Amino acid sequence: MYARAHEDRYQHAPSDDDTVAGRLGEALVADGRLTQGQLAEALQARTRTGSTLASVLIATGAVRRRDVYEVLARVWGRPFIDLTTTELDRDLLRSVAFEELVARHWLPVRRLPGGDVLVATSVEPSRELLDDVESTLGGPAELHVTTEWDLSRTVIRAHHDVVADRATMALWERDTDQSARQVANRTQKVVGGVSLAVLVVLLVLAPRATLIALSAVGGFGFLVSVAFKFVVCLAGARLDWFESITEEDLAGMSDEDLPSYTVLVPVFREANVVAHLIENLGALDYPPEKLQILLLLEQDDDETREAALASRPPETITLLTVPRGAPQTKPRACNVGLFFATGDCLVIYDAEDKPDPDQLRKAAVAFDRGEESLVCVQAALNYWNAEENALTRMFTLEYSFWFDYMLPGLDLRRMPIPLGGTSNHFRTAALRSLGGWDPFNVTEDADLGIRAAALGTTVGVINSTTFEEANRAYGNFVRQRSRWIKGYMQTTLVHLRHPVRLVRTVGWRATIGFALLVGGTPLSFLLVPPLYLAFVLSLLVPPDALSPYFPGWVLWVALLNLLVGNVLMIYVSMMGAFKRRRYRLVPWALLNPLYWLLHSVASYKALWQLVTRPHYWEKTDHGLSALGGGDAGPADRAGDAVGPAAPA
Amino acid sequence: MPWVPPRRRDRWPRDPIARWAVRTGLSLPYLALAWLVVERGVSSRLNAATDEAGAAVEWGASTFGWVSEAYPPIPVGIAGVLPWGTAALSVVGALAAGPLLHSLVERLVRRDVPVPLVVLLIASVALTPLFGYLATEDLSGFLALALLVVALEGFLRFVTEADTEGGFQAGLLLGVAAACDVSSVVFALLLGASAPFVARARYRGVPAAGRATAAVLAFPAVAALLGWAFLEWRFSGTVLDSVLEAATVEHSGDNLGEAAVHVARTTLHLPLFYVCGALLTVRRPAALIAYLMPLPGLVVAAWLGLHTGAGATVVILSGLALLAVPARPSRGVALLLGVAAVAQVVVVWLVVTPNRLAGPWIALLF
Repeated sequence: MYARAHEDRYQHAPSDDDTVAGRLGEALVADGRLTQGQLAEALQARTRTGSTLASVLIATGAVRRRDVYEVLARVWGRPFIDLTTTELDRDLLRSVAFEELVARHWLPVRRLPGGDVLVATSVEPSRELLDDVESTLGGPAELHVTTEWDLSRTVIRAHHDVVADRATMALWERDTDQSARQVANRTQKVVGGVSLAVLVVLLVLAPRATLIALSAVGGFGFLVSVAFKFVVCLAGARLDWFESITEEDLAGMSDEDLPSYTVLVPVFREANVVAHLIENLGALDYPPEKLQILLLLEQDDDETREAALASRPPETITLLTVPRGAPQTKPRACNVGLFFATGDCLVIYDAEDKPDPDQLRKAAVAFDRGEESLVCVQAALNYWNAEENALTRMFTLEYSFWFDYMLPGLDLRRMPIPLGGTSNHFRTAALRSLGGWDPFNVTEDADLGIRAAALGTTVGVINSTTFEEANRAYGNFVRQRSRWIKGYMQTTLVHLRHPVRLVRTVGWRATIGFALLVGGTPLSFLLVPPLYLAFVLSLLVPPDALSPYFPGWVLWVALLNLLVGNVLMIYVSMMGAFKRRRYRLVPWALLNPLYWLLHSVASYKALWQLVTRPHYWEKTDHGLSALGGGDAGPADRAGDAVGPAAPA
Repeated sequence: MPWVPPRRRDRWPRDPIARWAVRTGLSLPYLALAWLVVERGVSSRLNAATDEAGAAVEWGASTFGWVSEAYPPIPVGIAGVLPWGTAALSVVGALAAGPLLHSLVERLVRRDVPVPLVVLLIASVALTPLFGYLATEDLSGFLALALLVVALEGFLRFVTEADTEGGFQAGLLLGVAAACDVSSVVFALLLGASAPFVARARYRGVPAAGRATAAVLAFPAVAALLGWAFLEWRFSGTVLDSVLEAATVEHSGDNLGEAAVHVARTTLHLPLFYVCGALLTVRRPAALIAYLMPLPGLVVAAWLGLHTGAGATVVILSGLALLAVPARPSRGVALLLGVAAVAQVVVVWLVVTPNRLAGPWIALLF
């Protein structure tokens, strides 16, 4: 079980045997900082969850973090040191790698007049710790106690340039081919350039034959892509009655067995939603003493920081400043969060997310019974403002189809799953082994899901939902979608750099599935305008007029796409809405052809940006909904219900 | 606790290879029958018409003038692809019989019906000469009714068990069936329209649920028909002429009342249909509407002159009866069902068959 399996080096709470707990409790009561009743409750929680008494007291808000550590310092017989008011020897601090400082929970503060080094630690200053410190520093040291918050903040302040560099460059330095820092490698550039040149030459020399060939390839590709999505959806639909994590499963995992959990919430210019975020995270049903919530704030985003502080976050939420650097992307912020994550498991939420309260527990069960190769589970995403306007309706239809049919279908077929934005739950150690997120990839989540598969690990899905705010503004939608599509293009280029290696690792089926899903999606959207244009033209001219450009089988494939492909995609969209009990949205699925046109606008923008600004992060504005974060009702949550959700 | 990979609804047999072996095994008697049909040179005008339309298909051509004669596209397309004329159509029909019977067997097995009773119940459908006749002599109608029966299985799950996969199955199969026989569109519309009534208790207080259910059930079939209408309009200038032509093959000229009498009279020869209906009334009265819904479909289809006959009525209603067999039947219920199944085989052989197309067909074969 996790409580026993987690790595000591990431244990963040002070060690806690019965003696220490007893003395800590007595001292806090004696100081008048805790009542006997509160102590009794905290001790019960400690027994129930297997957490330390200090963690329980801090997480429940019974005692302030600083007070706990001050008393602990007394219990441990060491002085307390306030790092926010202490002068630091920056050179000394930087003499130890920041990863070491984070992992070992101590840092050198300054040299004392006698030559000893004053060292601050947030764990019990034992003999072993002192030996470790002195062997690292090469001389005698004197241990003082501080809070783990102050420790982290000091480390990040002193090593901000290193933290920024590691968060940005670690994956690139590990394996350049796994990073989207270079859009295409040399081989890809050569192949792409030659292909483009040949295409231009052919268009000049034999325009009609070239257009026919392009039309044939495009039509066939579209058909295959639609067929693939449809087959995967059907597989997903067959899981209607399968509930991956049941109530019994949840009941079978006691609080003590639950792993410690880190929640990363990258926020940027989201002062308007940060108060909601804190409220939503507070609704998570998880022992607070096992939660570490890191609110990742960009260094220059004072507005959001002030809003977060003004909302008086609980002790379980830590505001972590992401050092300034480029590219200023969400994955870069997440990498910083990953450095300081102490949980056995880790999840990402966006600022506007409303996860199901039991989502962390479900993920914990999934990991507990999963094989070691299961590194990530994805929860479904859906929208709480589904019926706000036409765009939110279409967005909700799309998400219902994607998360309720496509991803479970991919899971069933053991194919790579492109993770979806938020609510990706990881085993923290495995995530570190994968190299964290690629800060140069603007759909770092999809990339990570595919990288996980490419490295021989697996990603699964759980029957839990996070509700988000659907984009209600068309310009905002195109911005957001262009980023997603650009990210899919980046991901395709990254993972097809070594196609043979990919096939060897994940097999033919999964490779083709990846190519069709991640590579095929942008291509399909790019093909939409020419296909629509051809359709409109075909209606305006006599049937035979276009036959020189659509000879024989090319025309057959085009008609198949028109009459069967469109119908199938509309139909799965209808079914997705039906499963979610969004009955009013079902007829809206008929408008999908117009919605796809919007995607194609975004896809051309994405293609342009892939060339001109490959790493630019198109920021999506949140908090635009006029509904103001309405509650997701039971019908909305139907995708996770026991069995299917249809007419009930 | 071991990791339980996601899995779909229980299938029978679990192993896909075994499943296909069962389907193939169930097809074998009809393949033998198809061989006999070919051997004796007994070919119906229905398959002959399909074969003739198939010959007109110009595969890969840039012109589509022939679409005005190519409805229903799936059987006509099969006829166009396969050599050996009507013989090939008989073989395809025989092959389709296996998956249809397997879907019925699978449902019965999943509902823990005792094996001997499964055998008798399946015999009530499979051993009727009308089934063999349709399979080997009317590919278009047989494919449509086979798809309809499997769609009905999904429909029942969709409206009574709230299983969206059942909705998928029903809607999609009705859509494919619409490309096999236009009468399927009537069934799709009727099933769609009936769904809210069938599941009235479920829908209470849920706005738009009924409309959504109807859309899920009817959309693929309607889209298939409209798609075909577009093709025909675009390339031959007519609208649904080919559909109407194919639909009136067996037009009886009955008015609605006469069509209803014909259908009702045929049901009188299907004791199993009545027994299963009675059992359903006792156990799940709300599901009775779904059970009876194909009846108006058959009546309307007959009235409109669409491609249905007594053979289709027998197979559809017999199949439907099997879909409604209660789970884990008691000894008494099993006995009742067994007797009804045997009686139905006897009645269909002795009473229905001699008066229908299948009678002379049997005489020619044997």
